[in-house]
Amino acid sequence: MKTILVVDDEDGLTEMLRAVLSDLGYRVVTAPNGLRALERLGETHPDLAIVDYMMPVLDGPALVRRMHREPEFRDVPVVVISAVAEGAAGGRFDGYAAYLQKPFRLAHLVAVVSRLVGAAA
Amino acid sequence: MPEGRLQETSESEAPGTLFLDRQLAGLRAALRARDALIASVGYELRNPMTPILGEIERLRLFAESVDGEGDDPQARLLVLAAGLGRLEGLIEAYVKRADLLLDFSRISAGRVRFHRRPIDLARVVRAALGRIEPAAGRAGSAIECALAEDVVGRWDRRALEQVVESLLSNVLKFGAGQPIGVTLHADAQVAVLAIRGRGTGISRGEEARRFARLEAGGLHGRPDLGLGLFVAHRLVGAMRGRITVDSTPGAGSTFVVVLPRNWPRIRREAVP
Repeated sequence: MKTILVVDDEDGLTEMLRAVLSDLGYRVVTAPNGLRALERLGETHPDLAIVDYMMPVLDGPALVRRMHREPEFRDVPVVVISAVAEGAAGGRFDGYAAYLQKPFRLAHLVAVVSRLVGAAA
Repeated sequence: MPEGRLQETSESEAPGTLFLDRQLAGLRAALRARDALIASVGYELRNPMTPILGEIERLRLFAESVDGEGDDPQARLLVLAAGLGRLEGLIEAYVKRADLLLDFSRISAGRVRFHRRPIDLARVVRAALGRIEPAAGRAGSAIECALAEDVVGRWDRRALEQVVESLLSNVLKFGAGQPIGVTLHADAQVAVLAIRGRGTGISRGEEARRFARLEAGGLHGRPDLGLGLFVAHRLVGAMRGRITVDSTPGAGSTFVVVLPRNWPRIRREAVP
């Protein structure tokens, strides 16, 4: 089963993504900030990370930088989600596979996830 | 002198290039302040729309997937009711966020109206804890509380709710995964509410910034942070109380709110 890590401080959003992606057969783990996400990465070794830009404690760009320093997480594709436009925030990330500006369509997110990691099973 | 405010001329300062340059710099700073505030408001309103639209999309897809054959009508209704319940909760949270922005605007303009009546602060705190409990549970933050009973004072209910929820939300946000401690006690004169988070903590300089007015630079490119604390600080001050934070980087923060139980009657409260 493919595992997706969702990192966002909006509890309503992480719960909705957990429900949607779980219904599709993915295993979903969540974290409310970058620091907790680093713990989850080590525990769950996800196939994909969906990462918010602005978060307390450790924000999205800092999390991705830390991921890229670790050989075991360097290749985990990152989907950035943010209310800030890609032109304004994308440059702060070391790299990402896709950028979705909030509010995004679920169908769009699901298509991106499926393109990056394939079907759930 | 605050950024963006026009400077007054003095007899010793003749109008000239230097003076005009200062005025121009002030006006530019005011424009930056306005732009930063508009950006933060846009962020505050746009961000929570994602789960709202997502729930609507889920419900629409569910409705479109029902083919009428082999489906249990009762089960379908239960799924729809659960989705609508989630949507209701998300929209209520959205309205609260909009209220926070309105409070910010009213406070900045000095136009806050309070309705003072006997309120049990313990009940307000318990209700706020009940609302935050699901999110705290999912974040792994246990709530430890010791609340005195019947802490009644003459306060404004909405202002109290805003203060308690802003502080709880802050300690949950910055201390996700760590326990949250809440204590409430009172004597004849004052009620004392302490909310403790064992998260990252903040430095003294950061404390001052968070309680300072959110002028342009106050947001420092982080429009998601700070509004709630600012509003809480001002509302407590308007109720003749005080709010302090004791914080150590790496160890967490404790917010302490001291409120006089008999808030003196003044026709229009001056917001500090």
